[in-house]
Amino acid sequence: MAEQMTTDEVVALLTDRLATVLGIDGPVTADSRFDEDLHADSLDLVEVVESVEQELRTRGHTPNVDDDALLAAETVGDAAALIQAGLGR
Amino acid sequence: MRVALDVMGGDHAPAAPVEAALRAAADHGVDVVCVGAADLVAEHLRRAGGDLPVVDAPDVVGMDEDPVAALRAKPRASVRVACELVAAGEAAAVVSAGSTGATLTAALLALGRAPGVRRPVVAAAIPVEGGRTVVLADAGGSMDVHPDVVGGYAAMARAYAQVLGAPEPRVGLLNVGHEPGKGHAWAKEAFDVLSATSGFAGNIEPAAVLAGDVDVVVTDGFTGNIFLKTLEAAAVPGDGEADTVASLLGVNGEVLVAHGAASAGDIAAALRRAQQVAVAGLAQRISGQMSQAQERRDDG
Repeated sequence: MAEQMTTDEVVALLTDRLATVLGIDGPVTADSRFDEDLHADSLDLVEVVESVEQELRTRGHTPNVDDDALLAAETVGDAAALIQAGLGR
Repeated sequence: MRVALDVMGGDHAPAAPVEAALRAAADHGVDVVCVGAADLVAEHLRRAGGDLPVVDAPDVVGMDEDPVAALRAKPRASVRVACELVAAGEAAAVVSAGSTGATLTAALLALGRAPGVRRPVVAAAIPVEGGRTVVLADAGGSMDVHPDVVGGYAAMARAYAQVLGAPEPRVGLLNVGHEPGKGHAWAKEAFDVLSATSGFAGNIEPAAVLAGDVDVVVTDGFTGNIFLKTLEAAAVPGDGEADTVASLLGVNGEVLVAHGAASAGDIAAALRRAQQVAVAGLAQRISGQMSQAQERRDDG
């Protein structure tokens, strides 16, 4: 069974991929807002989340994210919490 | 080179796409694989007396659905399965007459973006005065985008214009007037972004686009799609063959977007075009130019 991940660990995965996808030089943190701070829309978010889900599967997890809630997430921390909660289902 | 056709996409699917696949195969030797609900596609092929390879993809993204949410909920949607065939090397290009937003989303998720690309863009080649061609980007891929994407739109569309024969493409920002400072907040911010890019010639009005004053016209997908559809609606019969297929630039593969209302003849022409761009390696050429631009930025 895969080792349980914390929300902070999921934040680290998300921030790394967000920086790559969005080509951002500055810091991306849990408090970063997708719209106002990162200029990221739902397509950017889903691309990043699918990449994170793929990484989680390679670590033995079975991610099960609530898509409606995910697409309404305002911050990186919100999305990470949803992904982390989906790992326990 | 095999072309994957999303036979569930378009206003007249699956009948028109299946007929198009059979026509393109019979008349032009295009190697087509039909992607869609296998039972339904087989029935249409049987009725037409044809036989083509089929890959089963039971789900469809409707024109009225949010593309991102729909593709998350339907991982076996025909347009995504078609793009995955290209990602797996089992096809060289994709054609879909379905939702443009869904095609962009599926292509991005399945194929990934080319180096240095912030947002892929749908580019339409518009014939204008003097037998010239203007590349319109975005022709309808992303309706709500931040203005910071337009620098990438311009770079990709310039690369496409060079492929079409313009050695030093000039870029205009579609606007309500040619003077700097014209337009709404989005256009003003886009103007500032474009001012730092190669070949930028300033704002341009629709009449000047059609006069061929620039080689590339950049705008958001909402405005671009209205501009394109207005041109199509105003076209005089006999003016020449309308171009009903656009290219998705900035993903790692050849993806062509046909008009939702495309007929079997239009889709057959798109399949033929897909084969041509796959042979020419359009995506690879755009990707190469974007990589070089990225390296120049990194070095600078």
